[in-house]
Amino acid sequence: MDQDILIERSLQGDLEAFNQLVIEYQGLGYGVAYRLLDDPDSAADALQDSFIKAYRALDNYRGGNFKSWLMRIVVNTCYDHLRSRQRKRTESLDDMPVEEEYVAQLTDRSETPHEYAERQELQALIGSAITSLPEVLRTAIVLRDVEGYAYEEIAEITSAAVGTVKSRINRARGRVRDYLSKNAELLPSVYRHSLK
Amino acid sequence: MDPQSLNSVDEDLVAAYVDGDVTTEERQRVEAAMAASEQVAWEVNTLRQTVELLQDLPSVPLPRSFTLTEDQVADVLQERRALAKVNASPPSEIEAPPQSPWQRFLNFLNGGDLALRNAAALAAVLLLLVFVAETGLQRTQPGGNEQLSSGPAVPEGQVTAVGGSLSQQPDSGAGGQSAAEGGSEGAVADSNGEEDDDPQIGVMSIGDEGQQSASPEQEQAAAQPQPDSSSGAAATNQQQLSDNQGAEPADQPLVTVLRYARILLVLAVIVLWLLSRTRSRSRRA
Repeated sequence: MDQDILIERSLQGDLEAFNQLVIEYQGLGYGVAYRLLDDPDSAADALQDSFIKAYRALDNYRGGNFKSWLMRIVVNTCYDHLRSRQRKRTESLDDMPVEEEYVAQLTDRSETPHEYAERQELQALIGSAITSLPEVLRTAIVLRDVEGYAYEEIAEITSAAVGTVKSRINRARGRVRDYLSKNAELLPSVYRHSLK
Repeated sequence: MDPQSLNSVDEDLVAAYVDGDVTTEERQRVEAAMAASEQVAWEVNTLRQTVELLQDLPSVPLPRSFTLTEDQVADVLQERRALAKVNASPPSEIEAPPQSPWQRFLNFLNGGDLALRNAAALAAVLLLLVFVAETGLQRTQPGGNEQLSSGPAVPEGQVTAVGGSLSQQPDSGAGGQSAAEGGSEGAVADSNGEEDDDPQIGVMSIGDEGQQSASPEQEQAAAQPQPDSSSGAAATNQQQLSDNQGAEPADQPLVTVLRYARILLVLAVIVLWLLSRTRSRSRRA
């Protein structure tokens, strides 16, 4: 069904119509939340909060790109969770969802357990590199390089100019590269050589 | 290495180049900078490989569905459903068949604030009563005028205008014919013709009446010498006038009051009805 019709029906109190939008965007939203928060439980909480906020704020949606409008809510809710988490300081490396992802990847029989372990370590390293970034750089690189958003969409989501978005992306990439280079033994050989 | 060290190429241009989102001119500029500086070339190449690593990250499986339950948004849901019900009623009115001009006119009259509209209706009814009463009085007025012009005591009177006063002379001169030919009541009234039909005759002054009732023939007759009775006629006139003055004031104040009441009631009807419409509109707004 047309997205505008679903939004209109949602505004009239049709929760099923809004849930169709939730189903359409929950995958994208969870990916962004997971990469920004680097924790599945926090990401799930943040995404659920985001959809509740979005439904409550649907009156304020003035047309345009609904995906960008929704993702802005997701990103801002993730920022709230990040700040809340920083206050609590409950995060621990032991909480990383290694086992969960392992289960998800076991179907790839061509990969040896050793290769799988290396890949998991690399992904964890990249995740840590992203998490080490300041919020605005983290958001820019996640939206662009991990989730594949266009510059214009990122500008809309983060309320920044396109030029600013490009600068942030470039700086974020440089910092991730520098972070990874400190753990070069985990990197693919091609990448390791190019860093020299 | 800090990307800020790229002197010849802006960092946003490097980002766009790595993403392949540059024009031909921009690409040539970046590649020229890379050819000129190993540092720039290293910067661009390592950034490109970093992007490849990031893009290779697997998509995250969704742990569960995030669809909302009614409990999570119960308050907003209730508001929106209530609002939707309110908004749903106008379309049924819009879908009603088109009204005839007469129905629209009736709707127009029926619109507005009820209390003020009722007050306007009451004023309209009073106006009608006043109008009927005034009309009734006017119908009785011509009789009074007959007395004024040719009282029964002077059956063949001659009406003469002298100095704006009314004079009747018993002599049947040439000028007397116009009044005397009628012979009946209302002879002078007939000579006045149009003035008698005027509904405002009831408030006309006696002097005015006398002036208007004097026809040219009567003036001519008045100009003729009346050897036998000028003083007698004057006395008769005086008496007649005093009679008329005694009969007129009985109805005149009532007619005047009714006339002003009619004007006031017309204004009241208009003002009350306009107020009724205005208040209704302001309430709707």
